[in-house]
This record gives sequence, structure tokens and C-alpha cells, in this order.
Amino acid sequence: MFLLPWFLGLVFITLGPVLVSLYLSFTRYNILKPPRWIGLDNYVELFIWDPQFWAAVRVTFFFVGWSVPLVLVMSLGIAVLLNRGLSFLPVYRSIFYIPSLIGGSVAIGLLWREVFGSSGIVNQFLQGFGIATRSWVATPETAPWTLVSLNVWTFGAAMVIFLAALRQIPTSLYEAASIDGASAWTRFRRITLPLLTPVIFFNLILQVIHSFQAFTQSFIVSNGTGGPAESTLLYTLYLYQRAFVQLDMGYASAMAWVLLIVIAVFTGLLFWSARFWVYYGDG
Amino acid sequence: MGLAVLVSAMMAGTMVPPAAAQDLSGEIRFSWWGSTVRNAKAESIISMFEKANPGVKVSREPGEWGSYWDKLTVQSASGNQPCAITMQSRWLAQYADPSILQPLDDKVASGELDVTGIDSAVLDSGRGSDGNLYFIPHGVFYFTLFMNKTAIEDAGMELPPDDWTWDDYAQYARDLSDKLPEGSYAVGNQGGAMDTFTDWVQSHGETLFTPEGEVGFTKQTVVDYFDFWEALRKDGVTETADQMAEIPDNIIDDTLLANGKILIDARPANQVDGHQKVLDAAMPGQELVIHSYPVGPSGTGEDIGSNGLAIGATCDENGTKLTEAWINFFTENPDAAATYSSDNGVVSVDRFRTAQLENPDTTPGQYQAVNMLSTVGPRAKSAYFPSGGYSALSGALTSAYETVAFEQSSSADAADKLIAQVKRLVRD
Repeated sequence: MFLLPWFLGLVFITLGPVLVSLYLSFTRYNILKPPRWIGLDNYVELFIWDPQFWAAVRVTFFFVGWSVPLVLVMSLGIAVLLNRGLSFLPVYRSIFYIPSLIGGSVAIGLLWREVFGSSGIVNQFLQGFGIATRSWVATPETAPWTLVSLNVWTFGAAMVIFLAALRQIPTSLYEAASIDGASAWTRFRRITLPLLTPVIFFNLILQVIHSFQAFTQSFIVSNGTGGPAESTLLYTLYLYQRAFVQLDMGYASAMAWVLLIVIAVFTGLLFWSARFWVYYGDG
Repeated sequence: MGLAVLVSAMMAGTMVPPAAAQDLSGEIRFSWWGSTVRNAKAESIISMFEKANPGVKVSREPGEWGSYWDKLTVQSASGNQPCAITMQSRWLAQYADPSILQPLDDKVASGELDVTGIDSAVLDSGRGSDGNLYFIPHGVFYFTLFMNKTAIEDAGMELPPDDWTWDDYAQYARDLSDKLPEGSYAVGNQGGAMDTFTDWVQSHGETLFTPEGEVGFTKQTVVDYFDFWEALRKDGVTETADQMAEIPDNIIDDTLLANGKILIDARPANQVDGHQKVLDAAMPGQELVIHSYPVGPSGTGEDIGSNGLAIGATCDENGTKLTEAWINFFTENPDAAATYSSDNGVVSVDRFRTAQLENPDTTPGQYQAVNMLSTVGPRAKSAYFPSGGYSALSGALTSAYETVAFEQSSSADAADKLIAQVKRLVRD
């Protein structure tokens, strides 16, 4: 009885639309006309006939493949530095955390366009050293990197979680290791990292899911085109174009289901791999 | 005496506005897209209409261009579209169905809708592929070339003749480029730009889409088009590939043309004033003029489109009557036309164009845009777009040309990709 509001919400707001989108993925549907059943045609076209789909898959794997490890290394590194008994820690922690609050916003996307544009501050800085410049957001080779860097810049959320975990590690372990003559690197490698693995695992899962679903950055940085030359066409942006530019809701629904399955497979693989490297302190 | 009465009765008959004579009452919803300037103009025209028809209230639904069509689509799907809907010829195909918009031919034939002074070619741009008339065009838009006359003359060149060919264009651009300093470009690169591509295709005797919605141009036409712009880009006659990809055309303040760095570029004719304003600030004293596109092997290729008012299919009988009165007022009332002042395309009614040309308050840019329509209008070929066709082709063209300009693929491969992509995206 007390669960009823929650249950109704689940059925009507979450489960209903999810099931409808599963149905729509087997239809052709442009909103204005009733959906028409076409079986597996959308899926067949996706995998066999649609080079844009594969372009989007390539861009997305590039994005996930670089930004997830970089975010983890960056956030862990900064967390370790901050954990060394710094004064004003809460201030630094807040400063580093701010980007992850605003990094997904439209305003930051616009800012990124300016920073990496042909007359942005990155180029002004490089010109100071006499380095030839170009527009980083409008060159196919560099544009995906501006998206990766924007995502890495929002490492704060992962960092805060790492910082909390670092504080849980008993100092007695470090003291014992120091007495035995372990160097700072050895202490990090043999004590910090193993005890952090559950939290690394947690952050890894979050970042993978988050990165597969990244949208705003590429939408704003490329003006919604995924350009230049499809170099920033993230999967979700292509899905958006099919759904809301071409009004191809059936096709977009099929794309959404493929994304769901891919994320599920990756998450499943990570959970499977966890047994080999995540240490829960139970021997 | 009898004659005098008759004459005065006739005078009175012509003096009474038809809308007021019907004694209308009720409320309708009216949706449009546009900037704050257009919103203010629409507001004052609505007030005029409500004043002339005291029983009528028009509920305002202004919108922003990008989200306007999403909103209309969702409203139409749920049968909740407004009675008075602003429509554009390029987007009509999506909505051209009697279950979404009311066919208007009968209302025009019976005189319920007044189309006096609207050219039949312009009126036809309001027709769907089923032949029905779905909206009454009030503004006509077309693309043309903007030329920075002052800078061209400073470089020691004269403006080109009107009857020039695409080869003349390339040669003229090269000659001009030789005389320009570093960082200035003779022409803007239009390789990925839909409107110049449309002109190219039509001036080479082909169409963008057939009436059946199939791709209407050949691979060779696309290859020639890409090669034409690549030759100019590689010789530094146009801006670089990354400049082209970075600077969107729709933000006038940022364009190289409006900042005096590009001397010739293609734009919709009604944007002269907007560009001139930015140019005045960037390069005081320089003057923009509009000039016609080059001629191809099959003659001119200009495309023309229109914006106008449609009636929602779910509008009831009284609402339909009110909407007819509103469309007549908006389209044919001289005060309304003077207030709107060709804000969304050059006004379609001929006597209002004349009035604008004679009005001393008309800006030089507006004067040119209105004036040139009399040349372009009669010879233009209104391009047909099937449902989803405009967005599919414009996106695919930009993307395909970018792969060529960034030297990732050949013109031939990019052309194949373009055609295949449009075929995949445009489907029913």
C-alpha cells in the first residue's frame, strides 16, 4: 500500500514508455502517422546498411575508451594529493568538484567552443610560443579530443568518492609499512590501490555508463551536427538526429535498445572481471 | 439621385472591411516562429485585428525556429494544433495531409480566403504533393549573393555582370583573390551549403527531389560541385576548411562576410540589413549589395520558398471562420503589411511591394531584396522537398563536403555517400 505511489510511477512513467519504445523499435513511426510494423528492418538497416551508425559507434568507443581511464587516473591522482593533510582541504575539494556540477551544461559546451576555437585562449597561448594554430573544434583530427578533455575536466565527482575512500584506509597500515622501509610508491602500490579497488570498480562502472550516454557536449560543440565530417557524432547525438530531426522514432527506438544492450554487456563484463582484481578485504 | 445612392452604397460596400462585416466572435490560437522584433510586429498586428473585431481574441503562441517544428509535430499528432499555423514551403511535406491541415482551394475559389495580388507561382509553393493548397503565402524568400561592393572596388575590380556563368564566377573569384591581403578571401566556401547546391543542381537541369520523393540529381553533378569548390579552396580563394566548419552561417555577427573578411557569399536576400549592420561596426563605410547567382548550362537555378498561414484540421467551424478572417487581415490588410514590413520574406502581395519600394522609410537592404524579387521571382524554380528531405539533404551535404575538404575522401566517394545517405534518411 505504501509502495503504491512508487509502483504506479514505475509502471506508468518508466516501464510503460520503455515497453512502448521496444514495440516502436519494430515499426516505422514518424509521430504524425500511426506506427507501422516492419519487423526487424530497423535493426537490419542499423547493422548492415547504415555507415553513419558505425561512424557514431567508432566515435563513441573512442570517447569512452579515452575518457574513462583518464577520468579515473586524474581523479585518483588529485584525491591522493589532496589527502596528504592539506590545509583548506574543503576549499580545494569544492573547487575541483565544481566542474562536474556544471560540465554537462550548455553554457560549458559553448565555453568549450570558444576556448578551443580558432581565436580561443588555447590558440592565443600557443601563438605566444610561435606555434602554428588552427581551430581545435573544427578539425576532424582534434575535435573528438576536445570532447574527451571536457569529460575529463569533470573528474570531481569521482575524486570526491576516492577522497572519502582514502580516508577509510587505516593509517596503522601505512605506519607499519614505513617502519618496514617501504617507499611512498610501494605504499601506494601495495596498500592504497588494493584497498581502493572496490571504489575504483564503482567509479569505473559509473563512468562507463555515463560516458556511453554523453550527449550535451557533442551537441553544443558541433552545433548539433556531429561535425566536422562526423568526427564528434556521438551515438546519442545520432540517435537524437534520427528521432527529432528526421522524426524516425522507430529507428531511434531501435538505436536506444542497442545502446542499452551494449551498456548492459559492458557492465556485465566489468562485474565478471571484478572477481579477478577487486579486493573486498575478505581474504 | 438614384445613381448617387447606388454609388455611395457601392463606396460604403468597399469601405467596410470584410472581416468586421461578419460580426465575428470567439477565440483562436495563432502560432509563429521568430525573434523579438518579429514578436513585437505580430503583437501589434494582432492588436489591430482584435480592435477591428471586438468579439475576437487571438491567443498568442510565439516560438523559436528550432523548437517550432517539434512542437507543431507533437501538437498535430495529438490533434491539438492551433487554428492559425505559420507554415513554410520547405517543411510543408511533413504536414501536407488533410488530417493535419485543411485544404484551402475551395475557400480561395469561394472568396472566403483572399489571395489578391499573390503571384500564382508563389501561391503554388503552398501546395502539397497531393496538389492541395495548404497555406496562403505572405512572405517570399530566396537566396542570392551578397557582395562587399566597397572592398571589391578598393581592390580595383568592378562588380560582375548579371549574366555570368559558373566559370566566370570562378575566374572572377581568382582575379579578386589575387588582389586581396592575407586573411581576406574573395568568396565564401559554399561546398557544403544547401542553398548554393540547390542553385547549382537546378542550373544544371536537375532537381533535388522528384515529385515522388526520390533523389533527383546525379552523382556527377555532386562530384562537379565538390570539385568546383575544392579547386577554389586549395588555391586560397575561399576560407580554410576549419574556418568553414567552425563558423555557423546563422549567427550573423560571427560570419566572415559580415566582418569584411569574405567579399562574396550566398545568403537569404532578407538578411542584407542584418549583415550590413555588423559590417558597419567591423568595417565602417563598406557597403553590401545583392547580386544574382551565376547561370548554368540550363539557365538560372534560383530556388524560391514562402512562409504563410495554414488552418489546422482540428479547428472547428467557428474557429475556421475566425482564422479565415485573420489570414485575410494578415495577408491583405495594408496596415498589417506595413507593420510587418516583409519581416519573414518579401511580402507576397504585389501592391504592398510597390508600397514598400515607394516608402522613404524602407532601408536600402529591404529595398534591394524587394526589388530583386521582381527579377528572380518569375524565373525561379521552387525546389520540392519530401517529408524529412530538407534536413536529410542539408545534413548529408555538409558532412560529405567536409570529408572532401578535410581530405578524408575523394569527391566521387563523398558523392556516393551523400546520395546513399539521403536515400536512407528520406523514407515514409
